[in-house]
Order: sequence, then structure tokens, then C-alpha cells
Amino acid sequence: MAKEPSRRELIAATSAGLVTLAIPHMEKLQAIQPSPTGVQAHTFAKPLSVEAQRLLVESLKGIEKTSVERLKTKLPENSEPCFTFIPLSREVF
Amino acid sequence: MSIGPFAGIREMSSALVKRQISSVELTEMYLKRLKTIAVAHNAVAELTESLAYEQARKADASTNRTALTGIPFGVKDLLSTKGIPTRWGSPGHADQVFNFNATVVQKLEDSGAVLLAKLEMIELAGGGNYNVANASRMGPCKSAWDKTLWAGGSSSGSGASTVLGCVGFSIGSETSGSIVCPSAFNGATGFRPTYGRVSRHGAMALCWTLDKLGPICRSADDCGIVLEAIAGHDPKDGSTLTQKLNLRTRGPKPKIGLLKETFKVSKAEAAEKAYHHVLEVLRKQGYETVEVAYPALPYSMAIDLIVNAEGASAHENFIRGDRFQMLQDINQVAGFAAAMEVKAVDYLWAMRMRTEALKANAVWEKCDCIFTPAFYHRAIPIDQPFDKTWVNMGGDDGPSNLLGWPAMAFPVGFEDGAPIGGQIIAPNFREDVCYRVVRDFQRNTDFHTKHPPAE
Repeated sequence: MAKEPSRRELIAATSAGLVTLAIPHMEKLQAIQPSPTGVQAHTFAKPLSVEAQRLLVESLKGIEKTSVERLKTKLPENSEPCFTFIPLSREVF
Repeated sequence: MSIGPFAGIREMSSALVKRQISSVELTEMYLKRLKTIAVAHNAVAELTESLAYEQARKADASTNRTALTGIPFGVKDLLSTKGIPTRWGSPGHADQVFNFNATVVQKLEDSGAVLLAKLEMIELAGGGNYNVANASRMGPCKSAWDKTLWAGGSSSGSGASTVLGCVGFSIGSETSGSIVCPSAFNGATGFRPTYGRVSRHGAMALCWTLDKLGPICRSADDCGIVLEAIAGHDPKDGSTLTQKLNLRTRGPKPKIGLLKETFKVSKAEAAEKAYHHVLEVLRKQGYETVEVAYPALPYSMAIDLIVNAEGASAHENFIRGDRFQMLQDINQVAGFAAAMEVKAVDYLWAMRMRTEALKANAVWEKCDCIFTPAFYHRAIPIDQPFDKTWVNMGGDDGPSNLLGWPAMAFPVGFEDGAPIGGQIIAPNFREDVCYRVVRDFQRNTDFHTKHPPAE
């Protein structure tokens, strides 16, 4: 007669199963985790070259710096964006 | 009467009307120069020879003439041309062919002008922030005056080909500097119109809220003729203005505003001398000047954010695609990749900053236009990265592009044998002021008639 698994054994087995099941998903998750450069890996069809990655790190620092620098210019509360682009009427399409 | 390659549009048109020369002959002359001189400057993306001869023959037979009938021209390779490759200067778009003409190309064809060539440009109009002159499919475009210097960007081929006398005129585009820079670096007269003045239908988008198309010519007079032909509302581009262009305004001489310049700090002796010469010439003609200043705001930062965000969005499919890393300049690969990470809140801050920047319009209460150097120095060397050579260059870091103001760049002197440029900036819808001031300057000087040494 087969021994009924204990709660501890059941949890261990289930956990193992879960881990097994999770592996493909984890691979997917890893693919969309931020890369060392901070840019999600799924952004590009091909991995960036080492030199491009190095330059990307620098460019990202620049973008981050701008995010901070811009705060030095206080805009009026409730001011609206200026979109000088005029939308097309539906008849155009 | 013989028409040389540096003739003005009116001169060519008059000779064509009088049958002193044919459009086919003009086309032949310019094609020969494009194939030799312009190609040697890496200024040509694609010749449109068979189309050109077809259009020239049609122009010669035409009885319904415009000022541009039979005049050969070239366009920046970001404008769609039916059945002819439009590569946007990018190796990753080498096989791109559209089945329609951009509105500007169609308008010029309808005017009877003759399309000779697509002219080379910085890949994707410089999106992603290029750092080398070599950021172009055909290699670095060389200044018309000195092959060791850069022709400027991103309308590189338009600036160089026009000044080299390889086309009658050309079309360029500007998001932030791309007409003014190649005009200054080559000694051309370039006209950046008010945002929305010229349809961008069929033009590559880099930044929807900043992109403008305009002529690059050999004089203000030529720029006026071409702008009149290409301006106007276009239902295919909802951003185009309904106000009509009128370059022929009269009345008192426009008052010229002068910004605080930093010639000494920038070690810009030649530019300072040229600047004062321009003012002397204009004052002799009755122009008055007044000192003006813009509100101190981070205009350039806002432009950078807007161009990054809109550029990444405009080219997102390419950035995510297989060919992305075919870009010639690896700095643009990194720049576009980083631009994908610009936060919405940062972009919207920039657009709100744009609202704040509207306060700069107060400057027009004091003056009718602004004169300022295009740059403080001549073109930079072609073989070194810009972050090493773009030093003390000055240039317009004010609100003009952000607010869509028109500007005309024009040659004002030389530094070590290469041209330096100035620019007249005017309020929105007042291209007539730019046109009038520069035309008056060019009627009394000859910088715009000087040509690079024969090759």
C-alpha cells in the first residue's frame, strides 16, 4: 500500500513541481528583466553590441540627469502642455 | 548667353523663357557636376537621371510656365519620391521605396521643376544624437569649401550640392538646426519657415511637433521663389497652416533685435568682425537695432527631451527590428535605445516648458526680428567626433525652434577660408521679415555669390 505522503513531503514535492513548472515562465521573466544597462532586454530584436551597451549606459545617465536637472525649472501649477501639432479631422482618412 | 552652375533662379528662368538655354541643357550640366563634384563630397544619395530628362523635356515644351519651370533641383533623401529609393540616409533603410511623392516633391513637379537627385543626409535626420560626420549611408558629407571639413547636418547633401553648383536649388529639413547648420557650414542661404508653413506629408518624421521643411539656395531671392512654390495648407498634413504666405510686404524697415553675444569667450574674432559688418551694412540702409533678451529658460533641454521621445516613438518599429544596429553611428544606436526610456512625465514637462517658453514672444514687442550668428566658427573637422570638436560654437540655444519661429541663415564672412553664417529669426508667420532683411543685405554684399574653388 502506498504510503500517503506527509504534509512536509507534499509541500516539498509541490514546491519542486512548482519550480519545474515555473522554469519556462522564469526564462520569459528573465528576458524582460532590466538588463545591466537598465533597458528591458525585449526592446531589441538582437542584443546590443558591447560597445553599444557601454554607450547606452552613458546615454541613460544623460537621460536620468535631465530628469533631475529639469526639476530646477519650476513650471506654474496646472500649466498645460503646448502641443502645436494640430490633429487631423476624420474626413482626411 | 551662357548660364553657369551658380546662376540664380530668376536668371535661369529668364534664359529658359528666352530660349537662350534649354532645361535639358541645364539638366545635363548639373547632372555632370552631381556625378563628379557632389559625389566626391558624399552629397548624393540617388540620381534621378531618367526622370530628370523626362521632366526637362516636358518643361522645354511647356507653355504654361512658373518661375521654377525647367529649373533643376535636388531634395533631401527624407522626402518620398514615387518609385525612387528614399533611404533617409540610413543603411537600415537601403531598400525603402515609396509609391507616392511627398507633397513638396509633387508641388515642385507641378511647378515644372526638374528633380535631379535625392541628396544625402545624416541617417534618420540625426535622431539618437549622432556624434560623427560619418553618420550617413554614403559616408561623411564634405563641406563645399574644404573637404577636410564637415558639410553640417542633417541636410548635409542639400547644403553642399547647392553651394557646389550641382543643383539649381535644394530642399532640406530642420527639427533643430538641420537647415541652418549646413547652410552656415557651406555658405548657403537656407530658409527655415514657420512650423506648419510647408507640408511634411511624405517626409520622414523625426519629431512631429518640431519638424519643418524649407529651401536651401544660393540667395534669399531664390529661397523666396522656392518657398512660395512649396508653402501652403495640405489636407494630408494637419499641422499645415491655413494663413497664406506673403513675402512681399512693405512698410518701415524692420527693427533688428540683438542678443547678448559671447564672441570674446568663444574666441570668435572672425564671427565678431562679420557680425559687426552685417550690422554696418544694414544700418546704412536705415535699419535700427535694439538690444533684446529671451527669458532664461532651458529651451535646449526641452528640445532634447521632445526630440528623444518623439524620435524614439516615430522610429520604434525600426529600433525594435532586425536592422537597428545597421545604423552607421553606434552613438545613435545607444541614443535611440536610451530614448526608449524617456519618461512620459519628462516629455510632458518639456511640452509644458514649451507653454512657458511662449513668454519669449514678448521679445517681439521690442523688435521685428533678431540677428545672431548661426555659429561662432566655421565648419568643424570631418574626421573627429563632435564631442571633441564642437567647442565654442555658440549657435541658437533660444526658443526659435521650440516655438516654430522662421529663420533665414546666410553667409556673412569667412574664417580660415571656410564660410561662417548669420541668421535672421522672426516671429511666427513673418517669413517676409527674414526675406526682406537678408535680401537687402545680399543686394549690398557679395558673400552669397562667392563659390568654392573649382575642382
